[in-house]
Amino acid sequence: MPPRRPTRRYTLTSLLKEARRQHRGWEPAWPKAEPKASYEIVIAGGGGHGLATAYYLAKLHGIRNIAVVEKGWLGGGNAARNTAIIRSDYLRPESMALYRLSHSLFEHLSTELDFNVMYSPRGLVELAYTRQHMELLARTADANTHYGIKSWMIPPDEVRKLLPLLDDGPHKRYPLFGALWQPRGGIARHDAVIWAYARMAAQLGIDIIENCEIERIETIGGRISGVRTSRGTISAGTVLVATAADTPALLASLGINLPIEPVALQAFVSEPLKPALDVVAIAGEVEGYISQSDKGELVIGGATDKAPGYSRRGAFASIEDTAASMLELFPSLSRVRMMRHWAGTVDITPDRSPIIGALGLQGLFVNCGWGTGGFKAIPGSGYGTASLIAGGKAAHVVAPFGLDRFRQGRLIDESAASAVAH
Amino acid sequence: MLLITCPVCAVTAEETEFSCGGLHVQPGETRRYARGVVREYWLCAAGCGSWFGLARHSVNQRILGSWTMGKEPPLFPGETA
Ligand SMILES: Cc1cc2nc3c(=O)[nH]c(=O)nc-3n(C[C@H](O)[C@H](O)[C@H](O)COP(=O)(O)OP(=O)(O)OC[C@H]3O[C@@H](n4cnc5c(N)ncnc54)[C@H](O)[C@@H]3O)c2cc1C
Ligand SMILES: [Zn+2]
Repeated sequence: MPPRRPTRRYTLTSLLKEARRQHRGWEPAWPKAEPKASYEIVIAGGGGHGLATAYYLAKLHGIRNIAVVEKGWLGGGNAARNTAIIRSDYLRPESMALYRLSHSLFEHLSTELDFNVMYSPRGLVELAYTRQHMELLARTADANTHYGIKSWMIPPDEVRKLLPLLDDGPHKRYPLFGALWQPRGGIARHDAVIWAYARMAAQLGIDIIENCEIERIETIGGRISGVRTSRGTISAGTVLVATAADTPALLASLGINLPIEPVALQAFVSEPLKPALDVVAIAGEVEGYISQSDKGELVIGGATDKAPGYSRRGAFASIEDTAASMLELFPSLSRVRMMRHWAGTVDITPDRSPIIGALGLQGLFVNCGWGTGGFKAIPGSGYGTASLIAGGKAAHVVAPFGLDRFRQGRLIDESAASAVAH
Repeated sequence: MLLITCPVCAVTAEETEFSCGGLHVQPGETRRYARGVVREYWLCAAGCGSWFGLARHSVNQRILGSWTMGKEPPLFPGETA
């Protein structure tokens, strides 16, 4: 019995209805679109930032003649390779505005996108083992309080209550001094965030074109005219380049030089364990961080590899360092088996803040340079970038992140906040 | 893991014994990492302490050669100027 009308919304009634007909009536989350000859806007890169920008352009600015062009599959870049940590306890006013907006959008993202993104604001601790680090975190807590972000310092006793697994005491060479606590920090499911934005964007009429690589951005008389792809030329008056570490190569032919260095960042997942860790823990001094997924796996990350490059193999030295960090903090994990490991090529900027903005050529925009911490920013960055492209009111959130800041010496230095990669 | 040979003291060791000093650039030149063969400065940090040049592939990690400063080899296969 072929269903008459495919089911689109994800609700309890639609679930019951589909259960009665053996789930044969679900509409695909997004159709596989073929490239058309022309669009109003082409977005290069189907990562989180490209998809979120497309969604908000359609939803809030009524622009629907958009194609998102992805060279591989959606989420094949860093968007679905990260450890999914969400927090807004950054140090600089510009960053706080952007990451706070993003964090607040995460609070209602599942409802907004009709898709359970498994947002879990379980709380996040950043441990400090030196006076210098205590000072830095205290400064961050003060800045956050000033800008209305809920985070504060907690003493070692409270940390021990939050993290009973933590090895701490007089036998340790470096005693715990305290921690920065963000009660609404947490994680979400990264694939779900990508799929949810893609699905809603497609429902609003946006074409999502996978397996289509953009080879070149075309210009006529100093303005953007379209893109040349592996599946033909697409004309468009506006192009947003959101291709992470591949952005410098795409823009180099236009004479634009981006200060971005590609480097591998690795993540590790253990066998599933019983619930043992119900907050996210980050330790800057040993460059490691950990959380426990809903399936019970420990999700672990560390510092980036030492030599830049596009290899996603990941260096052994980083694996060893990360394992050593985890055992220093949680020796009881020494017998836990690691099941999976992977790397992504992150796009690092000199001040560890993203590059978002227009690039001089009429119709050309960029959103890249998220480095090791851009997952948490996807909703806010998409919201702001869409506004920037459409001339809306929220453009001021992303405006400080233009490329010109490097020429003006107006860096938004978050190297301390992102000293450990997340 | 890169296995690197220092052209000065001839020691061959893992990348952790060395330190990557970034891309080889001429004064006034701006150069960025790209997919393909890249030329970098490396320091023999745990060895003789000399800086030297190294060419490697930024995607498949293959090392094409290393040289002492000033003795730049000609282009390697697959390398663009
Ligand atoms: C191991 C690891 C852990 C991380 N942990 C965290 C974390 O805990 N919290 C956090 O906030 N962030 C984290 N991050 C960082 C985060 O994943 C990234 O900053 C974020 O996903 C960047 O999104 P993006 O959309 O800019 O890039 P991507 O998701 O990489 O998207 C870019 C897309 O462009 C496509 N593309 C490239 N070239 C072309 C072309 N020529 N034509 C068409 N398409 C092209 C790529 O295939 C890719 O899909 C982590 C990253 C890694 C690797
Ligand atoms: Zn040497």
